[in-house]
Amino acid sequence: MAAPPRRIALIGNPNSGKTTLFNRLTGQRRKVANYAGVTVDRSEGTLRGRNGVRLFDLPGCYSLTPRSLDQRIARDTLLGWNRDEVRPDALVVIIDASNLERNLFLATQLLELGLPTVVVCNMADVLRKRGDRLDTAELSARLGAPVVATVASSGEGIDELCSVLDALPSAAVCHSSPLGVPEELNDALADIRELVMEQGLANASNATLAAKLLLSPSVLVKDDASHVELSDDDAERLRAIHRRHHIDADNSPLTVLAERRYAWIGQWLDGAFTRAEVHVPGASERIDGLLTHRVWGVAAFAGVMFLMLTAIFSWATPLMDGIDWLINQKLAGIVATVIGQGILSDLLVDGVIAGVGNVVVFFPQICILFLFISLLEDSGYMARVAYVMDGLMSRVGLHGKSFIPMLSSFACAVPAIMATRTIEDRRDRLTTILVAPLMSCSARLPVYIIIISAVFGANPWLKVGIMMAMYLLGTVTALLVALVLKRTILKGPTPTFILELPPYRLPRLGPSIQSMWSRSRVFLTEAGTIILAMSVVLWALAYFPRASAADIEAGSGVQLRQSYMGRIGRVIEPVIEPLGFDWKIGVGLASSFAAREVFIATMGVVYGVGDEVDEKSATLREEVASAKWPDGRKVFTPLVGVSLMVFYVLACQCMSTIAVVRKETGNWGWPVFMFTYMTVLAYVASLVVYQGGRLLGLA
Amino acid sequence: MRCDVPCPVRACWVAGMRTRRNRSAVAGECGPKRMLYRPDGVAIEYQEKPMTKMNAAENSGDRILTLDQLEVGCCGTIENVAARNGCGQFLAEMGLTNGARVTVSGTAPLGDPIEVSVRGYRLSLRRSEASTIRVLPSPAQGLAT
Repeated sequence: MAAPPRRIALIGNPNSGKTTLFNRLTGQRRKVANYAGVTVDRSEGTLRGRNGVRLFDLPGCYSLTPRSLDQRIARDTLLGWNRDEVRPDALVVIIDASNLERNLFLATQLLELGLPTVVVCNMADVLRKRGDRLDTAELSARLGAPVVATVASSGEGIDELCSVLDALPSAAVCHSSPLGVPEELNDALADIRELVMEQGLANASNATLAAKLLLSPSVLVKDDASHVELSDDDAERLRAIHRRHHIDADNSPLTVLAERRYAWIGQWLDGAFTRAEVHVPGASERIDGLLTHRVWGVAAFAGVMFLMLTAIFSWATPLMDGIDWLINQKLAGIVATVIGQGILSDLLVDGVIAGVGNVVVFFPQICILFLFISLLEDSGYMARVAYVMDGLMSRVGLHGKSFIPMLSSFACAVPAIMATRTIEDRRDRLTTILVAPLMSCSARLPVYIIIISAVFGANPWLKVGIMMAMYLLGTVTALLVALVLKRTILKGPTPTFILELPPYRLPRLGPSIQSMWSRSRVFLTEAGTIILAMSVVLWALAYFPRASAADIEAGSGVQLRQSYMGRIGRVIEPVIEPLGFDWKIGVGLASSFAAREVFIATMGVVYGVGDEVDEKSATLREEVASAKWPDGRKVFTPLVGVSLMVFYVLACQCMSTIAVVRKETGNWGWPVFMFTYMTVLAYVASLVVYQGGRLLGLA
Repeated sequence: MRCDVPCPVRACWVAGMRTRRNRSAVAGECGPKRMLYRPDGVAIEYQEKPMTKMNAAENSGDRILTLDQLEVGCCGTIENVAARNGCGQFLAEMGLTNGARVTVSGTAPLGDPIEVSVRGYRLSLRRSEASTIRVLPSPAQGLAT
C-alpha cells in the first residue's frame, strides 16, 4: 500500500506571489474548495510530477497573531488548533525578496513550529534590478533551513525548489536556535507552556511558540480575530496567568517579542544582504507619487472608479440580455414545448426557470466586478483605493476598504456583499453588508423610470432631478445607517487602518480571471439553492388558487388578482394605504421580492396590459397614469410616485441579497435583521413623505 | 507641526521631487543598531536603548514628535510606541519597532490617513494611530544622491 501523501503547506505575507508560486508548483491541477465551515478559499494540488506530495495554500498573513478570520485559519491549521484540518507535514515559506525584513518576521515565527521548512525568496528579479544582493547560502546557514531564490512569474528557480522539497526531511526539526525571551517574560511563558502541554494544545516541538502566541491578551477576547477556542477552565487558567504577570490589553508582551524578532532579522541579514549603494527609484515609486498626488491622484482615482461602474452597468448589458434571452426565451420555450401545457410546465417555466433566470442575469455583473477587483488587487491599486477613501469612510465609522463594496452596490448589492470579504474587522464588514443594499442598484432603475415617466409629465429637468434625488437618498441613508449601526449594535473599538501599500505591479489577466471565477462561482452554486426555493414559493403564491378557465379567458389580470399574491395585496392594503398605495401596488410590492424589476411585469398583469412589458412601454405608462381609486381619485399622483420610489429606495425587496447575506454571515439572524430594518425604514419614510406631502397640500 | 530639523526640499509638493526624497530615505539605514546578540544566538544579550530621549535631545537639539506631526518627506527614528488595544502589537509586527527609521512619504487627499515608509516598504495608517508613535526627527539624508 502506498504511504499517505505528504502534505506541504504554502504560506507567506500577502502580496508575496503565493498564488503564482502555487500555480507554478502544481500546474493546472488545482482544486479550489472552502475551509471547513467558513468561506475562505483553499487551493490544493499535487506537486508537479510527484504523486505522493500534496500542496495546499494557507491564507496570506503578516504574523501568527491573526487580524482576520482567514488569517486565524492559517494559524489554527499550522498549530493543529483547527479540528477539521490536519497539520501539514512540511512548510514552504514564501518571502518577497524585495521586502525582506518584514517578510522574514513571519518566517521567524514559522521556523519555531518545528516543521521541515523551505524558505523561498520570491521576486528575486526585483531584488537584482534594484542592485541589491542576497547571499542565499549564507542566509540558509543562519536560518538553519534551505533558502531558494525564485521568480515565480517566469518560473526561475522552480526546479531547484522541487528538488529541495524532495530532499526535505520528514521528521520534526529544530531550525535556528529559538528566539531568546526577555527575562521578565520567562515565568509567564513557563506557566503557559505547562498549560499548553497538559491540554494537548501543542507538541514538544511547537509548545514554546504556542505559549508565546497565548501571551497575547487578545486570544481571550471572543470578538477578536485572534481568539483561540479554549475550554472554560483553560481560558480561566490562562486569564489567571495573564493577571499574575500583569499582562493586559495595553501591555502585550508580543510587542517586545516582535522587537526581538526584528533585531534577530537584522542579525540574519547583516552580511547576507547588501543594499545597492545608490537606490534606483523603481517605476512603482514614480507611479505612486502620481497616483497619491492631491490632484492627479484624485483624478486617476475618479477615472478608475468611473471605468469600473461603466463596465458593470454598460458592458454587462449585452451579456445580461443574452442570458435573459437564452433562459427566458429559448430554454423556457423548449421546456414548454417538450412538456406541454399543465401545472408542471408552469412550475418549471414560470417558477424555476424565470425565477432563477431573474437572478442568473446578474452573473455577468458579478463576474465583471470581481474581475475588476482582482485586477485592482493584483496591481496594488486596491490598497490605494482604501487609502484615498478612508478619510471619507472613517467619518461614518467605516473603513476605507468598505468603499469598493459600497460603490459596486450601485450596480448590484449581491457582488458588493461578496466583495466585503476583504474587510478584516467583523463589525465593519457586517455594517457594510447591512447598508450596501440601500444604495440604488440597477434593478431599481426601471422602477424609477416607469414611475417618473408616468407621473412627472414632460419636464426633463424635473425627471432628472427626481432620479438623482433617489440615488442621493439611498447613499445618504446608507451612510447614516452605518453611523448608527457603528454607534449601537455593532459598537466596538475603532478598527485600525494599518494597511500595507504594496508596490505597483502589472496585473496579469490569467490569475485575475482565475480569482474572478473562484469568487463568482459561489454565487451560482450556494446562493442558487436558496434563490431557487424562494422562486418556487413566490411562483406558487401567484399561481394558486387557480381561477376558473372562463375567468382567465376574460382578462390576463384575473388569475393574479385572486391568487394568494393578489390576496396579500388586498390584505396589506389597509397597511399601505397611509403611504398612498392601493392593493394593485401592494401586489407589485409583494412580487418585487423576486427581483425589483418584476414590479413592472406585475403591474402589466395587474393593469391587464399583459406581461410582455418593460419600462419604456407606453400603454403601461398610460394605464398607470390613469389608474383610479374606487372613488375616482387618481392613484398615481406625483406625491404617490415619490412615496413609492422612496419605498423602493429603502426597502429590501431582493431575495438574492437576502440569500447572499445569509451565506456570507453564516446565519439567518442578520438577513432577518436587515430585512426588518430596511422595511421599517422604507415604510416610515414613505409614510412621512405621503402624509407630510398631504399636510403641505401637495396631494 | 513642522519638524525642527530643516528639511531643505520641504516645499516641494511635486510628485517627482517627493519621490526623489523618498528614495533617499529608503536607501538610508534603518536606525542605530542597538541590540546585540551573540553570533551563535543561544544566549542573547539585550542592550537597552543607547540613547535616552533626554540625551538624544541634548545631542541634536531635537524635540520628540509624534509620527503624525512629521511633515511629508521628513524622517525620524521611533522612540516609543504607546498604542492601545493590541494596535501596538500589530504596529510592532509590521516593523514599527523602537529604533526603526520611518519616513512620512505622503498623505491621502483628505489629509488622513498618512503613508509612511519603514523597513523598505510602504504602510498607511491613520493620524490617530500615528499619534501613538513617538519619533526623534532626523534630517533627511542623502539629498544629493
